[in-house]
Amino acid sequence: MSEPGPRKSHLRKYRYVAFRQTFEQQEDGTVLVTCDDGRVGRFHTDGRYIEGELTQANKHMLIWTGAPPQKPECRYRWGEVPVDISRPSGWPEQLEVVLHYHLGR
Amino acid sequence: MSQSDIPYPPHLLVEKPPYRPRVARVGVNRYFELAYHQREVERIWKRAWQWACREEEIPEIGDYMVYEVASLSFIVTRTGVNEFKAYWNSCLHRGRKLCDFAGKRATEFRCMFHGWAWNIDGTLKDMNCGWDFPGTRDEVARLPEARTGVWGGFVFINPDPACEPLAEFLGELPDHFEGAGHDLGRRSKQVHATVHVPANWKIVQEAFLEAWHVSHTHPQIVRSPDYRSVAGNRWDDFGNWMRSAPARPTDQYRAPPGYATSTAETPQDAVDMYWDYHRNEDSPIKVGPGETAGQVIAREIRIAQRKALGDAVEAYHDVHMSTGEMVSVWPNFHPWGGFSRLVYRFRPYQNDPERSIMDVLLMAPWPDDRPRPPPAPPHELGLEDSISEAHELGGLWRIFQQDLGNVAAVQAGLQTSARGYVILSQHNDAPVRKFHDMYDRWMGSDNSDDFIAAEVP
Repeated sequence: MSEPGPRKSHLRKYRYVAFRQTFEQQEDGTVLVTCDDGRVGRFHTDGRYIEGELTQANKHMLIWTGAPPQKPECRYRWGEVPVDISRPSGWPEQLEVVLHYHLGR
Repeated sequence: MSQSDIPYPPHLLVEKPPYRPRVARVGVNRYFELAYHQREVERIWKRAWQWACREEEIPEIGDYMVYEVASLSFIVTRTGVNEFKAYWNSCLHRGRKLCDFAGKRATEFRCMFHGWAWNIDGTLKDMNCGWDFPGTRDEVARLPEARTGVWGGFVFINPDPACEPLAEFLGELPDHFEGAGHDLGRRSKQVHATVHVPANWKIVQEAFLEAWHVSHTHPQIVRSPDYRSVAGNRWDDFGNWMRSAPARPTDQYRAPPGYATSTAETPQDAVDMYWDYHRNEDSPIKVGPGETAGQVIAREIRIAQRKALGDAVEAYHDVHMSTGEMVSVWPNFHPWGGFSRLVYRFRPYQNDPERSIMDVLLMAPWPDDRPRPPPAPPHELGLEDSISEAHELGGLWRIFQQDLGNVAAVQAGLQTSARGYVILSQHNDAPVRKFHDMYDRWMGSDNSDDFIAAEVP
């Protein structure tokens, strides 16, 4: 499993070509959307408009960009098996889950 | 071996006539009315083959699981090395559930109300105060059974004693998995998320039946135009199951225009999107001169899968490394081929037609020289939980977050529908149409005043 290279920022940034827009996750949990023509808007991840000249943005890109961070140990790539083949650390606490599974709450 | 030496996966060459193109209209009532739910229980859930658990979840004789769908509950237990039985989870005395949850190495199923008990082979063991029930011993001598069957390590049940055997029901399905180098019996249940969803099970399932929604609901994963190993998606109908598969460039029935729009500007963009390397970090995977995104993705997955499969990875086509076909088995079971590892299942939750359970599995291969990893227990996420808590899904939970955001809104929107029906298209919605045709047949809706299968010239 290859790790991402050095981060310029821990916040996500995507370019959405179809709408000619760039989506940037903000420290406060909102998402800043910048159009190629210079218009900017800020949104909640559920699509609600907050401020700026740009008043509408693709809700699914807002969700994708603004979602909570992925636990690093669980950031394996689609199609891959984690290196240790079994469950990596950080997955649901096994003891608790197994107890629930076999013995009920 | 180069890709040009590897034939396109033979099972993907098996074509069945695409579903007859037509536009259909489906009434919205089936998505929220209790009467429909009750009829589904009688006509579908009491009659259909349905995946209940994995073999490796009950590895020893006497191990058992509790499988629940709608208001129905079944005990599924191993009674021999290769023998499974399923019982209606209800005491024959006063009806208490015999088992509240899964268990290990049981020698009996004893009711916690008055103590009646049955052996794991279903025969009566202890009829407490039997003297007080004259003339009833014969009718409680055996627990009522559901039929069982196993395919690919999945233990299926069918409550209908007159049902056809599982193998007949599945038809040629095994040829498309075992026959194509994807024996799900040789996959380990690596992840199991059980997600409670505030929407009818059909709404949730339909959100995954067709791939058309990807272009709008998942704009971040739309592929690059240079992704030449596939040419969109094709869809085939195999009777009790159907398949969405990567299309060959020669396919006549391929994705129509507008099916997907690339959001990648370069092959490197496409690779970065595939694995979610965003623009504030440097992707560790670089596309070399002359390489396509599809080649790079397949190459990297082949490197990763080599840890589990060894040199066997070289025998797989890029298509199976980088993507996979989704199979949908009536009524609710969805194993994927290839190395996507996904399996879905959708079930109604108790007697609430506006609530359901979505199971997501990742089924991974493991090296031949190592023991089978233990199956992951379900990670249950309630209605108040966020799927973002299921980090073990890797990047998938963010994709499901987009899908699940839609389905709750569909449930709400259907109930305020002015027209009272939804419209299904002739091509892109064909899998959903096929599902509803099956649904009406099973529901006996030949008088369907709610299903308007009108053909549009």
